Amino acid sequence: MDEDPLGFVATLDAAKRGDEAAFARLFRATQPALLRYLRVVAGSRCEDLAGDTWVQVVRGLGGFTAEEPAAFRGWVLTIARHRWLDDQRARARRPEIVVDAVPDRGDGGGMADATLDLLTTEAAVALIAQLPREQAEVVFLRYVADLDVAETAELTGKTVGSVRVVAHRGLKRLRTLLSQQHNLRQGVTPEAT
Amino acid sequence: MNGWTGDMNDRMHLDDPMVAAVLAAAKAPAEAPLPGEAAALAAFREVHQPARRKRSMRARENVKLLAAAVFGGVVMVSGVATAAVGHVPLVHSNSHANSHATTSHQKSTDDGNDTTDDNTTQPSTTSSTDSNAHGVQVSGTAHETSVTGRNRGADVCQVASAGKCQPNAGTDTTAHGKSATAGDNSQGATKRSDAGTTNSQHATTHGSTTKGKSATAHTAGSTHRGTHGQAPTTP
Repeated sequence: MDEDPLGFVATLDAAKRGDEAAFARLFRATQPALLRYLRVVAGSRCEDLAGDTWVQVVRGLGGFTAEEPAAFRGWVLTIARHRWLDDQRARARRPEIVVDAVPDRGDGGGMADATLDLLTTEAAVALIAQLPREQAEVVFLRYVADLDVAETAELTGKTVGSVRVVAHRGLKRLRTLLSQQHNLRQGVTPEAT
Repeated sequence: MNGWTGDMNDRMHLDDPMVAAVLAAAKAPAEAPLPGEAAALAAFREVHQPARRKRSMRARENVKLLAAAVFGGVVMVSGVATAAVGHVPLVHSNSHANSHATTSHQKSTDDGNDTTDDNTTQPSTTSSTDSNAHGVQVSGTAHETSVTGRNRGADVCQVASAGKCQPNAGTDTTAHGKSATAGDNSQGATKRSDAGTTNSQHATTHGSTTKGKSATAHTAGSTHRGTHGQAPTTP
C-alpha cells in the first residue's frame, strides 16, 4: 500500500465508490498479513477465514474511514479476529474430530532447520504459531503486522500494558525456542557425522 | 524508575539475529498470485454491482414509462381528431345500426337467392320517393284480388322487376323463388333479393341481410302480402 501511486486515501475512496482495481490494490497490500495472522491463530482454517473476512470488509468498506494503511490493516485484522473467534465458538459446538497429526502447526525440528537455513515466510509464520496462542497473536500483530501497542490492544481487547507484557513474553519465548532448536541442531549434527 | 521497560527488553530480543530473521521472514512480501483474490473480487462485485444494475433498470423503466405515455397521448389525440372529423368507424356502424332498428321478422328459406352475402354490410342509402312509389305499385298488385295463387305471384314479379321477371319460364319450382336481381338501378339498395323468400309485410326492403337467415326490412313503403317468391326491386 505504501507503494500505491494513488496514495492510500485516494485508493480507499475509489474502492468505496466501487472501483474494482482500487479494491484489488487494497487487497494485495493487506492479504499477506491477513493470511499470516490467521495462519498463526487459526492454522489450516486461515484461507476460509480470510475469505469470510473479505466478505465482511467489502460490506463495511463504505463506512470505513482511515488516513493510513496501518489503520486499514488493523481494521481488516480486527474483522479477521472476530471471524476466527466466531469460528472457534462454532467449532466448539460441533463434535471434535481427533486427528493423528496436525501438520499446520509444524514441528520443531523442521523449524530449526528452516530458521538456520533459508527461512521461508511460511516457516517463519509456523514458528511464531508455535508460541502460546495469546503470545503468538500479539507478537504477530506487533512485529509482523506492524500495529502499534494501542492498535494491538484495541484489536485483542487487552490493555496497553497487557499487550506489552504479552509481547515481551512472546519474543522471549521465541528467542528461547530458536536457541533450543539451534543448540539441538548443533548437538545432533556432530553425532550424526 | 522510568516506568515500563518492556520496550527496552523487546528491543533486546528483536536485536537477536535469529528472532529478527524469523520476524523479517514472516513479513516478507507475498508473491503475485494471492490466494482468495478472485473470491474477494467476486464479493466486491456482488456488493457494488447491484447498485449499478438497479440504476440501469430504473433508467430503463423510465424510458418505458415515457414511451407508454407518448403512445397513449398519440392515441388519444388521434382518436379525438378522428372523432372530430367524423370518420370514426363507430359512427358508421352506429348509423348502420339505426337503419336496423326495426328488425326483421322475416325468415329466409332455401328458396331465396342467397347471392350476395358479402354485400350485407353495405347500407342502403336509397329511400327515395321513386322507390316508395314502386313499392306502392307492387303492393297494389299484390293486393289485387282478381288474381290468385301463382298468377298473382307472377304479376307481382312482373311489376316488381319492371318486366324482367319471367315467372313462366322454366318449371314451377324454378319459377318459385326466382327473384329479380337488383339490377342496374339498385342505387345501393339491397343487392340481393331476399324478399322473395319471405313473408314480409314490408313493401320495400333495403338495408342488408345476414346470410339470408333474416332480412332486414325498412318500412319505407306500404306493405304487401303474397309476394311469395317475388322480390320487389327498386326501379
